[in-house]
Amino acid sequence: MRCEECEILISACADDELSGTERTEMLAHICQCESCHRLYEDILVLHRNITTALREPMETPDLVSPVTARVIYHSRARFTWAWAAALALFIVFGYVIHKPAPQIKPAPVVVSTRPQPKPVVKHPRVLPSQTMVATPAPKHVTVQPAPKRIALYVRPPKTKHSVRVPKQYDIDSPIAMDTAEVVVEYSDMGLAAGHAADLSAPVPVAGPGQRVITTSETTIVNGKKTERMCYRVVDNDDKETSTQGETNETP
Amino acid sequence: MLSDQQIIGQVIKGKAEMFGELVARYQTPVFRLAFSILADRAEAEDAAQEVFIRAYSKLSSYTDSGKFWGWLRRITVNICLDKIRPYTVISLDDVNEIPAQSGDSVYESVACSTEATELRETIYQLPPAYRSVIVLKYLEDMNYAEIAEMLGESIPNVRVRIHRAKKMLRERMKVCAQ
Repeated sequence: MRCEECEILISACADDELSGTERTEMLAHICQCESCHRLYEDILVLHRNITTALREPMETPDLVSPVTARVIYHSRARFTWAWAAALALFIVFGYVIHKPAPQIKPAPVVVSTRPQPKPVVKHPRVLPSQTMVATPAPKHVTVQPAPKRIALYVRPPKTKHSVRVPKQYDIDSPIAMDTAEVVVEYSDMGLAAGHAADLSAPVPVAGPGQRVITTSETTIVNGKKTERMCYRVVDNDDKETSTQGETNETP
Repeated sequence: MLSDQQIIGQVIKGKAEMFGELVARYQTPVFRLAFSILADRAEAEDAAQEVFIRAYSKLSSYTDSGKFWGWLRRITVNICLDKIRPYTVISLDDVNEIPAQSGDSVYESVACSTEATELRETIYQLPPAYRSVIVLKYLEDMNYAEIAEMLGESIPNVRVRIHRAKKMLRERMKVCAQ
């Protein structure tokens, strides 16, 4: 073992930080090396002197007053911040709770017995929407005085958007009307325009001796595309008895 | 007399003024440790105050698994090392700057130094990186593994650094004696 290596071991030995093997090697070396033996004795004395010097009584400043003052200040500040945070949370939570939910107007279903001159598209600015109007026969068409029975089937839409139908119109149940003047209007606030066709329009059902004539018309007004489907129930002898329209609007 | 745990419990419950009792108990060891590492009285006083403030702010995270002083000592060392951090980077080549040991014994110079203050002043003149390990070893009586863990270094590195610190002390004390 060289003396440089032994010096490190001597320092660690004085601190009682040597393993058994290292201690044996160090002791074997200092028994043969006079300078390292003298160093070992010096280190032991230095060890004691350092401990004594560092643990000598020392004048300590008073820390109680300044620290306590700062601690109490921090405590009050923390208390204030806690209250402020709680108040802010309360306000935000209260706003979220009492925030008015977006109102979805139910789609009106209007059944009118008044004659209408032409099909009217309700709520043209609400997109997407679907308006279906069943109108009576044009003026030039003679309506049979005897009431015709028109069965309307209102089926639930196949999209996730619901079409609100008043309860008096049961789903999937035929609605018997004793008049040919029927206006049925559908409106769906959240329905995409492309899905408008998914709605099941009330389609007149031809009765005995009748047939249904379907026509379509597409118009573009102010960039708004409107598709109007017309269903006409006519007698086999070509007398019109009912007209029903379906209008799909696409922006 | 309330124990540390009882005082801590009351402080956590909101009695901040009770923390002054803990300060009174530990201000001497905290200041001594801070002063020994920083070797500057004003800086040590600031550090000691910072130690107690940080201890108060983190008191809720203190677990009674160990002694309160051990927890407080770690905070003290961390704060003091943060202050001397720019000076603690030491290259292994620095040992070459230490004068080679002469064959003369320094036993007498150390032994005759009855003024422990003189040795303490010599310790304070050591570079911070050497001074900190000497303080942790001989003031706090920590072993090499604890020092290495606290300083984030390896045990062999701590061993070498303590050896070099002692070597510097012996050289400087010998110069003073002459």
